[in-house]
Amino acid sequence: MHDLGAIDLMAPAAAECLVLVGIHSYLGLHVIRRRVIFVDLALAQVAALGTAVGLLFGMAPDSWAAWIYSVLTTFIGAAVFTLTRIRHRKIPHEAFIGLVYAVAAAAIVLLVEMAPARGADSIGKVLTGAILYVQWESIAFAAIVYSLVAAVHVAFRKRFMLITTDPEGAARQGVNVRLWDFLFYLTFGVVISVSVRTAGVLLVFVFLIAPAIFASMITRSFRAQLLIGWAMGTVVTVLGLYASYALDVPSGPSVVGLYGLVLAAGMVVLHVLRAADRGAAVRRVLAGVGALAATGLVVAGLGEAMLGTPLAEGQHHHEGALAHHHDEGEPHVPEVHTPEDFAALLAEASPDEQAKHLAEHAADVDLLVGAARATDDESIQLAIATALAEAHPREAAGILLGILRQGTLPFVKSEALERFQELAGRQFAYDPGGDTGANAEALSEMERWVDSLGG
Amino acid sequence: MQAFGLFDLMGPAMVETVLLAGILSYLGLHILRRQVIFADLALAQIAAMGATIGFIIGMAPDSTGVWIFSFLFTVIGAAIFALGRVEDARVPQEAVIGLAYAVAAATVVLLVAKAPDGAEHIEQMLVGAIISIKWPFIAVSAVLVAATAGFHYWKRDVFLAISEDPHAAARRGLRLRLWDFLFYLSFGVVVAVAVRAAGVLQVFVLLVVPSMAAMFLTERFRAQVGIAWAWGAVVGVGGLVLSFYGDVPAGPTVALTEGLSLLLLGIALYLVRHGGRAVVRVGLGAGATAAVLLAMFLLGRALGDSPLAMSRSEARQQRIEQEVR
Repeated sequence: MHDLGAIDLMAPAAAECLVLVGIHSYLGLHVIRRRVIFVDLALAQVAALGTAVGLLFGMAPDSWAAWIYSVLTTFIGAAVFTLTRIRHRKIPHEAFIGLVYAVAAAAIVLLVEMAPARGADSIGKVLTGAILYVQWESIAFAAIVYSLVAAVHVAFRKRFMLITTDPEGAARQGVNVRLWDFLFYLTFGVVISVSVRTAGVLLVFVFLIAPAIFASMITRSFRAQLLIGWAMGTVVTVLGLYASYALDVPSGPSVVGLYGLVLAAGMVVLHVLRAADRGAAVRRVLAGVGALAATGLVVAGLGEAMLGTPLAEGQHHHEGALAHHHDEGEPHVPEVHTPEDFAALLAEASPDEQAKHLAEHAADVDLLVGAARATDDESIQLAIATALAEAHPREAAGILLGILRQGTLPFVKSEALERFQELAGRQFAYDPGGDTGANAEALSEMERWVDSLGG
Repeated sequence: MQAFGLFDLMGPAMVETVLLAGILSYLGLHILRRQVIFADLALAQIAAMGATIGFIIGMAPDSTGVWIFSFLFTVIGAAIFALGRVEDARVPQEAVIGLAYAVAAATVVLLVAKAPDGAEHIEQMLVGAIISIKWPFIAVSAVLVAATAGFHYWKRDVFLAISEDPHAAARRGLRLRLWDFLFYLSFGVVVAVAVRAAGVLQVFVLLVVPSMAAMFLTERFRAQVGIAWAWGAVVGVGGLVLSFYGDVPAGPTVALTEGLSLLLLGIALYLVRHGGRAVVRVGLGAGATAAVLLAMFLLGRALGDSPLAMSRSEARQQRIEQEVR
């Protein structure tokens, strides 16, 4: 048996990111010139909305049907943005686009709530994606779609550039600005509907904006900007993914964070280089960094000081005449003594109460493992395994293996598989849709891995 | 089982919504004049990040300490937005602010990645938990809202001047950066409270929708303030009532209702101001929308049971089975 290193684990994610960098850096330059920064966030959210609508009809989020839906909703969004360019003297177009974003996000939350296979999880995934688990076939698909879009943009590059930089001039020359605007948003929407599936709303947004800002700060030439954007995107992506592997933190948000850091550093360097008086600029920068560090220290100290005081305590002693106890510190928990009791308690609890119970008893491994044995509800077993994963990977893996072996619900099994692979840090040829016979080989390989943990 | 009536369950949420609508719709009028739409979303997200950090270092999610953290972060964010105005015309300030938004959101996700109820926390950050709000919290937010409103009323001329025409204000000898910072500071106080109660999305919608509605309806600032508050409050409470009877989550429902109300207002104004031809156009638009929805519904029904709706793993399994046969 061999350990999977950074390259094996990260290769698909890195490939996907590089494919993303290519088209998004280019489109980002258009977005910056058009000054409609919100558009991509809004379109990405609208694409995700399509996937959420698909959930209602029983489409799996990673199915083709769901993708067709997200393309459709994105087209509608593109049409709306082109048609409703309301030229109100005082209200910026951005306000409408921002509103589309917020309304789409709210609608997603509602739809996920209404969908048969629901879960707060999917909301987090819509935001941050699951780029680590991208499959080679999706990467190939994305590469094909992006190449087609890129070909269209190369073929009509002068047109697209003209309507982006000078729409009034284009209209005077007799170009149908609305049509080309729509074509722009259409191609844009196709790209985003593909990328949101794997990368999530936030990462897609940053892939668009960050390289474009960075390059625009350095030069005015479009070609040079494109090259700088690609170079910056590639380097940051690879470093961000490596950092997420080395530090064991989620990869999407790590890349986002690194983009922000590099951009801030770039601004500071440019500020110093371009200042008339470099000494003064350096002093200003140092003062700024010092002020930030001091603020950070003060905030940290304050946090430290507040911990343990009444300020850091919940307000659970206040009475509220509410059926819902969403953020009360301590709900009324019946005393649990046996694993059977605990399993019964979990079975009755809502998902967030479940999480609370599990967090409370996380230290009691025997109780949790016993409860997982006592119940035959796979989703409860999954929740227990998730709660145990951090501190007791072996027990968690054992429970997950049980689900994978005896489970009946494919989506619980695929979730369990995902968790198991996270724990193991490698992929298994297990198929959540198949029966135990078909998966015998993968299961025994998994079992060998669990045994290798010892204990 | 004891049945809860509308007001037992929704009373506190309604009061809080009216309060927040009052101050947020007023601030929204400034935000629209300043043309920095992203700033409010970014600040709301930064407030949520501060709260998350407080929560991660061990404070109870509904403690005062978490609010203080959330407020501090908002102030820092506000200071950076106010002081670090990018003068570079090639990079719109919105782009930088948008990036701050994304980084703040990603930070929250990173921070809660290892918490057992991380996904729940992210959902709550987005849509809030206004339904479970308590009276003491409402009292605190009332005091803060009143303080902010009082300050803005006292210095109303200055605030309006720097929002409408900063350059002219600077020529008149106003200290632009100081007042900008004070504006964002008061904004931060309100947003830190509002995000905790209502979530990032609802705060954003309450900032933008009522003020846009008011600006459509009138040009006078005073009238705009009145209309915006009324609009935000009435539609917000309406959304809560809808969520009660429809048994759906309150936060997203309010956000959707507010958005829908603006759409209806836009259509109504269009009809009134343009008459006959507008009726035909709106009819066509409504017809097209209905057709698209119907098409999507039929498509959904058709695709829902087809192999295309399977997740990849299921599809792979089916391929294997076919090959075996």
